[in-house]
Amino acid sequence: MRNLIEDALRSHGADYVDIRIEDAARTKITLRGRSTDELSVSRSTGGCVRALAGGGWGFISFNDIANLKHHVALAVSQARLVSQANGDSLLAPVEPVVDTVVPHLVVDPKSISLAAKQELLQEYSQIMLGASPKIQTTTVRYRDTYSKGIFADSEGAFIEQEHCDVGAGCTAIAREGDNVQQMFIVAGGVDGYQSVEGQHDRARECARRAALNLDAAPVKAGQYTVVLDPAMAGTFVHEAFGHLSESDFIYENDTLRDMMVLGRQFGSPILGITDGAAAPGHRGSYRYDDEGTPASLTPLIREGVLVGRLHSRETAAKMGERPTGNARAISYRFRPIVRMTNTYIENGKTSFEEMISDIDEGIYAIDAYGGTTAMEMFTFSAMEAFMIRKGRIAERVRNVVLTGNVFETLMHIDAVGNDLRMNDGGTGGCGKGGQAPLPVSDGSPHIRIRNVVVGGN
Amino acid sequence: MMDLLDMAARRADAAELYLVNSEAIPATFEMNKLKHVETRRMQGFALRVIKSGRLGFSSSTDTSEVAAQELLSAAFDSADMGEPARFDLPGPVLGGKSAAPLIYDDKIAELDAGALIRMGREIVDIITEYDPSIKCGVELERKVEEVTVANSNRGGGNYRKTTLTAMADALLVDGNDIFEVFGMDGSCRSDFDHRSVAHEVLKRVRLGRRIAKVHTGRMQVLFTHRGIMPLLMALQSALNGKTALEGASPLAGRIGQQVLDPRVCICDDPTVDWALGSCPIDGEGVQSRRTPLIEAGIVKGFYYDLQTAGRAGTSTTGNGFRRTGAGDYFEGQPTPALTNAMVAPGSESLDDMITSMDEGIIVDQVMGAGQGNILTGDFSVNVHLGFKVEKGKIVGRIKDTMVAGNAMEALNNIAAIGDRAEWAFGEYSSPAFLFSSLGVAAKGR
Repeated sequence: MRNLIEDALRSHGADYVDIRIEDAARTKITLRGRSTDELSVSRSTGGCVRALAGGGWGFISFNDIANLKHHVALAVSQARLVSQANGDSLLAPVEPVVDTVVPHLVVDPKSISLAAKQELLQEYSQIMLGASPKIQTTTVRYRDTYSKGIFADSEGAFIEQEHCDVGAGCTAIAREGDNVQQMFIVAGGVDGYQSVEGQHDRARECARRAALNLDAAPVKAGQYTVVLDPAMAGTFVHEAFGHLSESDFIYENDTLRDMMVLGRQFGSPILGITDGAAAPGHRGSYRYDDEGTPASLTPLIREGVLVGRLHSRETAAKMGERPTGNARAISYRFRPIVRMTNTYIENGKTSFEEMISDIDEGIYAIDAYGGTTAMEMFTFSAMEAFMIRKGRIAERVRNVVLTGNVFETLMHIDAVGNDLRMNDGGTGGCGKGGQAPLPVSDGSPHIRIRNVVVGGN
Repeated sequence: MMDLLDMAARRADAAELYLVNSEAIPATFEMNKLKHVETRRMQGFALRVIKSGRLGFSSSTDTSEVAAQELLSAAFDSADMGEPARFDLPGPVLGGKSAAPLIYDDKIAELDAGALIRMGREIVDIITEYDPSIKCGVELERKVEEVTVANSNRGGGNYRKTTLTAMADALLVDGNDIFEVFGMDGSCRSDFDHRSVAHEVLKRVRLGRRIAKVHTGRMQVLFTHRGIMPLLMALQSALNGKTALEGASPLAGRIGQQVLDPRVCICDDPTVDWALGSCPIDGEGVQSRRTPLIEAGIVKGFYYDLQTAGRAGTSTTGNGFRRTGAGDYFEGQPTPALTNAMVAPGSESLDDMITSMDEGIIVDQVMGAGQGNILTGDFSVNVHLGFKVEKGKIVGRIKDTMVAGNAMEALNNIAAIGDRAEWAFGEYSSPAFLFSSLGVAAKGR
């Protein structure tokens, strides 16, 4: 393989060429209720070539790796087509690396039989179905991916990385007449199969909470002071701010660059935000990104001030900054784009009790269903929520969906907790530019935000 | 490859092979400039076996002899633990050629990167001629796909499909205000006019130059064919045969009952010529057909794949598709999925609907569809692009606004349905809907 790649990287006639080859094995098991809805083993082998010629980009992805030289020629000819129209793409320098990375697995998922995996999921399923007579059905998902990737470029980099991502999710669906409520928990990690074991108590609790949510009243629309738990706050930092720190949104747009200028006050001085794949042991952790740039830890906000952003080699070159190792592709079928890795709000000083003590009427939002963002606007929803009345947690409410504008909302964070927790696991991930799901993690301590718009009837 | 099917069939009760080959060429413009030209080629195949009455499944991209053997044993291994198969694989399709929708156009297959670049450039030019300060992202993609389904009952089929899609987004930034408008359309046929996407985007850019104020409260809400998506997603979930079988659908067990306004008619139709979701057979080799789901507000049926239909004691509707991952339409096992969801138009013109509004909002693009409790039909979405209507006139664009409600309740209290159904995102066709009172939450006092 190495000879094939090195041969293809010779005499291509372009300014820069990189090749990625990937071989991934996946196991998927999905139980719906007691029955096995999906159980499959799949294998995906392929590669891609990216070429930069005359400032234009070409890209080809394929499954027939043997024809590598031919694929390089096509990518280069496509790059020339682009360069005729617009040839202004360039790359920031990165020291070419030759390295081999293997994961440190506590329990290799390949060493566990399909039957044992299915049995563990059955246990979770049984526990949830038995947790309350109101549980209508359950879904338990398991995925493991073991991938071997090679990255090589015309500058001399040759990196072999193996990566293992294991994830599970348990969803409980409670029903009473037309009222249907669902709740889920996730588990998983990059250090092996043990990360999805031992979730029995959490699964039981998840089902119990889904049943309790049947009696919750829908929240009344309006503006509230909202306290977010670490899971909700993690989704918030990912959606509300993280996507805006991806430089491919702004690097070629002067107006947006002015809006996102380093040194701009984005939040109050208690706010710090960081992203980085170099934080070990999380779903978004790796040693080198898909351009061969070493992973780093990038401070994005310090004391409320914008101090950094996420880069690929191209966005870094265009903005005169350093590559941060955030160029990622979900597979060999796609070119790398700027993505988050592990994004989190740094610890502050306020305890949870202090945070809620002076709230007259507010909302405590727990565990995120999901979220999405479009430039400065974002929205995300809570799985479980309670009203806060006169400084105390009060009645349960449902359908809590929050929305906001990043410029106002970050300014309205007026308390940051001291209980940072990272949220890892699950079978999903982040989506952008048609590439989903990408494994990422997020995290935060509890935070309090003033004047948040909450939708409702 | 067919040897593999024979090998599998000899060791199993029944076997099925699914093969897909595709080539997509996207040309991408960023910030009004051509940025990337790509070629994405993919081949993949999946083997499904029924052994001792149980289902096994495996997929691969590698066509070598060694990989084929690996695939075979993986499929049989998984069958040891698989669910009992509740169906027979279909025999030969009897409908003949005439029943198949038109989905292949040589002229699309022949389009090269140069042609796509010219089309994309035209879209950028139309938009920036109107206002040079607009920054456009545009993607033109042509795709050719070949799908084969073969099984040990001599069933299945083969088809080739071409698609041409155009996506455009226009971005205007003014201070902290970011104004973004999306457009997307496509067809299997080459006479599709990509420039219409630019005009559709511009129409809405013109309406949104001014910002208007909205107050929190209940008001009239008009959803365009694009904006109605979160409500249709709730119906799509409720009408899925699998959701119904598990009792998680609010429509489970209600076939023949009036559940929505009698003006609501929805069907799934993969037989529409040149529509993006059309195909002659589904992912299990079952012949495509039009499936009525809601007629005159009455539940007519759910949509099924073979296994779900078998478990529910009914027949497949030809909606078994293998949709999982980004374009990997072979790694997943068949599951019920819609092709072209078609919502029937009503009788009011869009202009008359707007004129009839005293005070309310128009929802055209939403953010966060599907992140709420979709099973109950509850939706609560951010209005990514919307307009304020006062005394029958659009007065400006709204910001930081959410609209919430329950899809089933809303579709039982319809003020008016538009007289034109239009394609949205190439996924479904729907008219606009006007509701007299929905919950709107906005920033401010």
